[in-house]
Amino acid sequence: MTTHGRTSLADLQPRDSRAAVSRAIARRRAFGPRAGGAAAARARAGFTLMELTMGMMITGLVMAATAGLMTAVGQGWQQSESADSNASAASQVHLRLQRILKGARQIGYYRAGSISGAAGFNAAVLFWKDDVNQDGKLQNAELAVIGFQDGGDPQDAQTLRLYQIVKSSVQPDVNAEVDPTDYYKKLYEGAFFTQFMGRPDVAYTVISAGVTAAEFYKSDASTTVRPEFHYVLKLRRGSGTETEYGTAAERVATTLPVSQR
Amino acid sequence: MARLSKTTNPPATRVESRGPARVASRDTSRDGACRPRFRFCAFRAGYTLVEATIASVVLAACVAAVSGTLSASYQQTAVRGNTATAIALGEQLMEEIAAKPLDVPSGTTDKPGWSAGQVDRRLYDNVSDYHGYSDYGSSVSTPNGSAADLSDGGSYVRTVSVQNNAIPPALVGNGTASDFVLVTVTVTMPHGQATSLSKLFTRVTMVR
Repeated sequence: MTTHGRTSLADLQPRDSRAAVSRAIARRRAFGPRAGGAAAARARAGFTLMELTMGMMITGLVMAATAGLMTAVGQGWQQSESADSNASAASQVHLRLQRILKGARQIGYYRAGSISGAAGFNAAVLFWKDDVNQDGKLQNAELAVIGFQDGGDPQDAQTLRLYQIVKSSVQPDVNAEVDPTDYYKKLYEGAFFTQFMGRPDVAYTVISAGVTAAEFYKSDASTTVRPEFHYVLKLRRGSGTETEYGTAAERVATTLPVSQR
Repeated sequence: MARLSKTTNPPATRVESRGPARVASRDTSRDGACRPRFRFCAFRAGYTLVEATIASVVLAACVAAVSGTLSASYQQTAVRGNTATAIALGEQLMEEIAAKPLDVPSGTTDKPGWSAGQVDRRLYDNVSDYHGYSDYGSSVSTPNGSAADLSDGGSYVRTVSVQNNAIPPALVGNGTASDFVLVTVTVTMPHGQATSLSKLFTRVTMVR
């Protein structure tokens, strides 16, 4: 049914229908009566068990890798935080000691102690911390001790402490001058150190906690312009320790007693 | 009609004659139609070599990027720790130098410094003695002769430079150049980084 060599719409529809029917018949012959439905169902079906297992395994591997990565990042952060914290703590110890010792007028008796703990006694130093009333004389209230306390004292064990006479002290000799002879030579005597530490009005503040060992050294002589005070501290860091070494030079040192020159 | 039989009948006949078992082994084009000239169907095929290579390259790039970041982070942490140690070491030496006068007290003999061959810094008696001083190692000798291991697993090099007549530009003409000394302590860290501390010293008369 052609008109002027063209196919009309009315002619095409029956032909297409016939073609579709033929294709359906062919499919039925090829796959059986229900084969067309099974193939379509297979095309629409989800993953097989094997595919799911493989997928889960790959997902698991990726998750494990991601978890490992995150753990590494977390550890890095923790390590960084720990390093910062340690550096900050060590810096604070140095700053506090420097501030106290640079302003000292005279560094007296000291016990060296031992960084290895072999000395049998704790490092300590008695010093004239400042001429508070600007009278050029040393009074009891102007004395201080920096001392290391190991585990002997359960309260604030392993600390570096600053001992001073409390401001509220009612002791009669709190403002009394300490031995005016020979530029306060008493300051260099161990007995005087013990006497000072035994005072009921002496209290301490903690300069640094977590100090496992301390060693002090003083460098002073008749020709020394600025006495040096050296300290080596072993600070607890996690399960280990870290050693810090610092020096403080007295800026306003008084005359050294003749007995010490 | 001849065209109709040509397009529909032959595939039906071929499918029927070869059976369904052969259909699975046929290639399938994008619209899902199997092409009999190929042996395998595409839905059974794996990734191509190019696809696998691209995926591997992308994965490797991602791993390298993440590893690089982690490595940089660790290195940065280590450097920060080293820097803190280096600064502490530098400050210690600087404070030791600060305790020394520019000139030895009158009536005393000037002892030789580093330049004159004296390597024991406990015997230095003025600032200039430290010029050129250098110590190296994982432990630093304390003034009482003992060694303090201050390193965090590495070695630090401390060097001292003393520059005489270091008068600040603003004071030129108003001060004596020889009254100013600039001391620089440089600490080189285990990984080669260096940090420097400088301090300007002036001549003052101290009576003790």
